[in-house]
Amino acid sequence: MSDPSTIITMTQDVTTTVAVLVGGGWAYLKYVKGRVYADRAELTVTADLYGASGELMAVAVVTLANKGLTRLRFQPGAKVMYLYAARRMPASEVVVPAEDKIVVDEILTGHDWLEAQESVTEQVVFVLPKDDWLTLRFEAQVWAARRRWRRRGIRWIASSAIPGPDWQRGGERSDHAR
Amino acid sequence: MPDERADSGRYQKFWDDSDLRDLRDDLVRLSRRGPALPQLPEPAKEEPELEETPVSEGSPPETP
Repeated sequence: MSDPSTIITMTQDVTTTVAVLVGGGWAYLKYVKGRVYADRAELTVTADLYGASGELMAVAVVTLANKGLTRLRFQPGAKVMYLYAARRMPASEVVVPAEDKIVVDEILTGHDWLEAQESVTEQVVFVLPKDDWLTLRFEAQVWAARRRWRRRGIRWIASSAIPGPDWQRGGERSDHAR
Repeated sequence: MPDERADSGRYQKFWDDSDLRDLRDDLVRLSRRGPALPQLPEPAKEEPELEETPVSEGSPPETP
């Protein structure tokens, strides 16, 4: 036991074991708990409304930024923009507008993936009749492809609601004021 | 017409096979593309008639 070579060998074994454990723990904390290679994205939507006689044009701008450190792969056919609309209702009481899903269209169709730290922007145009809309809401959804052996994937959802035509901030509808 | 741009609210969510089926149903049911512009008629291509021009072989320069 007192043989110096045995002591050195044991010390080396213990040191190696500790180094492997420390390195493994660090890698676990950094890459698994820290989710370094997790899919991260930031999706934003803004929208504007333009009017002409009898028609409205809604222009929504969708921006997707890959905030992660890996390439973000998309689920095929699963990048869409929904348009929800609510019709005007009697305002004698407080109500939450009942929105209907009006139309959906694919967006960012030219992109199958997004590189790390890359961002893309696209404008989406909807034309709709100049009805008595209360609100219009634009909802973008971008679905990441499922990782191998995973049952679920991640999707990012962003929405933006704008008042219908003739609605003014904090006041009467403009058609009443005229 | 309100001249303002609404900020977006955003979040992330998991999806599974049933969500994917719903999305595909929506794309079939609610996708409305306007009619495409009619194709402009292509201008009739006329083969340019090649005029037969006499090929001058060139005469050697006159020497005094």
